[in-house]
Amino acid sequence: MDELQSIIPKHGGYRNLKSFRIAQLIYDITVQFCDCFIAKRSRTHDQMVQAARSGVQNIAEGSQASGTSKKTEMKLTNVARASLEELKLDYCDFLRQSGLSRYKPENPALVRLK
Amino acid sequence: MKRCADLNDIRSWVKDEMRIKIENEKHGKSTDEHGRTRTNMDKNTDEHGRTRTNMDKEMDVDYTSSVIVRDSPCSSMLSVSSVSFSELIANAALSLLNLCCYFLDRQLAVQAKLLKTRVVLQKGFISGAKSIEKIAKICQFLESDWAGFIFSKSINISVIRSSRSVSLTLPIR
Repeated sequence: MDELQSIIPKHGGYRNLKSFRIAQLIYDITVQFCDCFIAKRSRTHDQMVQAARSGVQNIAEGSQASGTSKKTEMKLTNVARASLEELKLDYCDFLRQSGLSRYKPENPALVRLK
Repeated sequence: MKRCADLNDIRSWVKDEMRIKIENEKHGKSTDEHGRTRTNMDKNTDEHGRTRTNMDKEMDVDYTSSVIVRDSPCSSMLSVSSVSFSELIANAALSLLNLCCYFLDRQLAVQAKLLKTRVVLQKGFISGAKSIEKIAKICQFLESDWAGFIFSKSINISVIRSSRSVSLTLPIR
């Protein structure tokens, strides 16, 4: 076991990563949000849920792969980042198309959220 | 102020926000996104609710000095006053997404730095005092979690620095 650990170092501690925890929360919110506000049969519904899921899964996969390949870890983290950027765009589109306002970071409601 | 960690926290945040907005409306405190009370003058209109035109601006008609700003919220705000759940949740999700992207960017920056270090080490020679010093510095930087992963298919070397022994595996070139 020690020999194996010297060859493949510690890896897979993604559950302690802040990015993983937040991504998981975003996934949960997105699933609920899409069920409530986006038509179930629409393509956007699936796209948003999948983008959120991809964010979580790729962070976990990257962390798991870090033991053997740092390059793979980096690539997967980047894929997670890209998925979340895509999801961000979907939320912005939703707000714009529904005629709702996008809050600024200093909005009291968002300050209370953090 | 508590940090939202799971879906239940988000639910209670939405409930709180709704309660705050409803209370504000009851007390006639309809506010804009910055928490400021909106009035009829906010939309650059005159006392009759007409929008100021370019002509007005060219003629330098100053309404602010002659118009009394009413205390009540403008009519457009009253119509929007029914708070939208979707707006709150979408904005919360966007805020969390920004935070997550920030953490991922930082993670990527660290990973890129480590990958670069690895490449530099694999290209360098293992002999010579200078390279050993360099390795020792990197060891200090990479200590604990990161020290193990760097090298493969290579020889072991021990570097003693600051009364600490660091065991390394370096590539044979």
